[in-house]
Amino acid sequence: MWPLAAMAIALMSLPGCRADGSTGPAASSSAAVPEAQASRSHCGAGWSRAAAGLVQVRVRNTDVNAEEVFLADGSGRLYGEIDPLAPGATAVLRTTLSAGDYHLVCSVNDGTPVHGPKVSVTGAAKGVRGVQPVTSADLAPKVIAYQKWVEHRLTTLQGEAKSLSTALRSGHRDTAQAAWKQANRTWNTMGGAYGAFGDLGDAIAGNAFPFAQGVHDPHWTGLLRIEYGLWHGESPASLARLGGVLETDLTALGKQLKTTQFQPLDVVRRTHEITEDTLQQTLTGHEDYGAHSELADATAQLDGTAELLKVLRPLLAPRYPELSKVNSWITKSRNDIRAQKSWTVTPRGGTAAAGHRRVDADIAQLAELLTPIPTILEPRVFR
Amino acid sequence: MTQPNRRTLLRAGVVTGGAGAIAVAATAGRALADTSAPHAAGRRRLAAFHGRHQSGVLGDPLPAATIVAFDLATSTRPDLEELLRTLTTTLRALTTGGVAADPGITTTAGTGLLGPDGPTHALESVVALGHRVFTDTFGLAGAKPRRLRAMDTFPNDQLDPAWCGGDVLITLQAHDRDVVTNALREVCRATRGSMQIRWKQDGFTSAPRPTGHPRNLLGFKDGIAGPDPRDDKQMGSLVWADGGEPAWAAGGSYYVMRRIRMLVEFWDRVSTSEQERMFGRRKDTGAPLTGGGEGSTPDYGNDPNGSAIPLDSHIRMANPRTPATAASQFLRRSYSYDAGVDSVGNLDMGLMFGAFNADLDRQFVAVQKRLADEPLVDYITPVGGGYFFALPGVRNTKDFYGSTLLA
Repeated sequence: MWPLAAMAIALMSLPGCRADGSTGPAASSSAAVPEAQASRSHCGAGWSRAAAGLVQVRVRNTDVNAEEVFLADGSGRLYGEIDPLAPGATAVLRTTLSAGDYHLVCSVNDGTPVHGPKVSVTGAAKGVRGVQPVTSADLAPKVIAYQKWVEHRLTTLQGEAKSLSTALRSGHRDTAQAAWKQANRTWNTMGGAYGAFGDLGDAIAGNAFPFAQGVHDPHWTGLLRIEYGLWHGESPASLARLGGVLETDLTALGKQLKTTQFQPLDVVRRTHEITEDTLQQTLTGHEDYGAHSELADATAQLDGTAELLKVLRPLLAPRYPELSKVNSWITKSRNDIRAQKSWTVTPRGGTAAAGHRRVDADIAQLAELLTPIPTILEPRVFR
Repeated sequence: MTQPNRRTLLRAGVVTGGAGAIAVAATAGRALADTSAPHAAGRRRLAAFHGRHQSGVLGDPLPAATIVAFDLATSTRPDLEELLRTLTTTLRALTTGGVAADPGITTTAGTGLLGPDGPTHALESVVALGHRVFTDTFGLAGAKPRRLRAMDTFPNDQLDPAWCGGDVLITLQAHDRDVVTNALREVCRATRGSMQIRWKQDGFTSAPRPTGHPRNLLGFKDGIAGPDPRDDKQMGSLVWADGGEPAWAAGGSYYVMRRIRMLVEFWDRVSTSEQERMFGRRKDTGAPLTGGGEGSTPDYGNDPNGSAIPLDSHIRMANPRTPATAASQFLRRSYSYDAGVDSVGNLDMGLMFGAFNADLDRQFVAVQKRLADEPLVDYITPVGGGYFFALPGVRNTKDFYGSTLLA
């Protein structure tokens, strides 16, 4: 007995849907959501046809292991997925299909994916684009290349941190501030968003929010702590110890990068996470401890995203038609940032200046344009 | 749990792109089953998206609303047109509701706030433009509605620039808050690089207590008097832009939005009879102080000296009911708001006062001038808002907001 099967909702297939947004021809029939089994032995059993447009199929894992279920066409392009689906569990796979032949793929954990029988879709409605899936093996060389680039940036940063330490010890605030700006810029190209470098990342450039005593907390270290000191009248020499800690932590990060590899999924997600961070932490001024380096940081973060996209481009270009738009929006963002003459962080409860809003809109639009990338490039087991 | 007669209008979506770079849900909707789904008790049927006028103008204010002013982040006419087209397809799809088309694995899905099968025709909207859109930047300097300008500062205002102005004003309203929230998030997502929120205020309309017009946060029934939205002739003279406006504006309306703080703590320390004299109506029934019920006409003829309804009461100053002032009435579409606490611990709440006008100066501005220094001003403080022009309606599936303006 399939408990959910009894809950057949009067379901309808999707009317035609034209790219211009006009109402298309109505679908021919309404039908209950069809059901399909998804196991190694009965992948796709029970489902053989659908009307073009919105397609829904209730999939039940009748295997003994958890699995991922895909809806694919003959060329291997994917149109929908359920990930994960536990043994005995049921879920609705939804997508939007044009006429054609499709089939389910049951990718049971630790097993070879099984391709189900043909499902023929008929009707005039237009469906979504299929995506040729990417495997971890496809991503591996890209991830290694990106990690190499990050390691190269880290070497640069280590040198800059050394200069910063020297300047701090010498007691020259101007020199130290300039050295700090250089190091901070390099760090911001490295994609350290959302814990990419773990605890070391926090030690190197964490903000003061996690600390009980905030900016006065003795456990707070790293670039932002040094920024706070340099722009709040603390003597450079008194910050020299923090410069040393920064160098030590960067050395440790170098070792970490030598011994552990980035996870492909993490790298793929970073394509939009860096930009999310620009919106949430940088442009808001949440991590401004006196240097007011928001625009320089944002530009460096754009550089980091651009580099990552460059590495992923061979996989991305054939799968993401809007990629050129991403690039042009990065350029537009850079130009609009460069055009800002009197940037200030928007005060709490205040209204953003026109230039601020322009940059905010650029970065927010870029985040939207980057949104599809992790979905498209997520490593999948399908062959 | 089969629901064979469920009304099923569908929303289909395809991912399209343009310079604004936006995933737009295109609409294709059709009733496939019973189209006369029962409406919950007390819920009026909402206006259709397509029509000569926008859906959110004439109907009574709904329980849940949001009023959001955006500034444009674009500066070319093609970008403006694309924005207006995107707003059209997005709001059309949101109004149609139903099952959202799934993007497959090409991008992320919608908010999911309304579940896999959202309510259909559960949203009304108004899209309006501010005066700064009508400039040479967009080649629209010559198309400006003749009265449109930055909002005037009136004698009793205390305007905060953060709460004033904007290039695009969007009002969304529904019976349920989640429908409004979902719509706003989808609108913002679809237009991210083209416009940025300048200010936003959620509003609400209280249930009638016990009957009649809903009460505002001063406890008085609000919006009792005013033109009849079912009277086309009245709407023609009082709401829709008249022949003096550019031809493209036909079917549109001057939309005044004012954020009016109500000093409710102070108000609650004032006697009911004094409050009633300030308004000119009974607090419990809404009846004018000359007698009758909520719907009765104030009898100024038999009260020339204001012994019943004081001459400086709100309703008497706003609408003296003389032949000379009849043409200054406008269509009020206001919402209450509740926005937290001020710096001395008083509640920041009040009214998002909305008014649709055929002629901004003949109507809203004239009335506002008459109301200068009325006794009520000690208890209410306009703190923000703007003058906008509500665009003509989107006629059909091929049409878009501002099509006549940009033609």
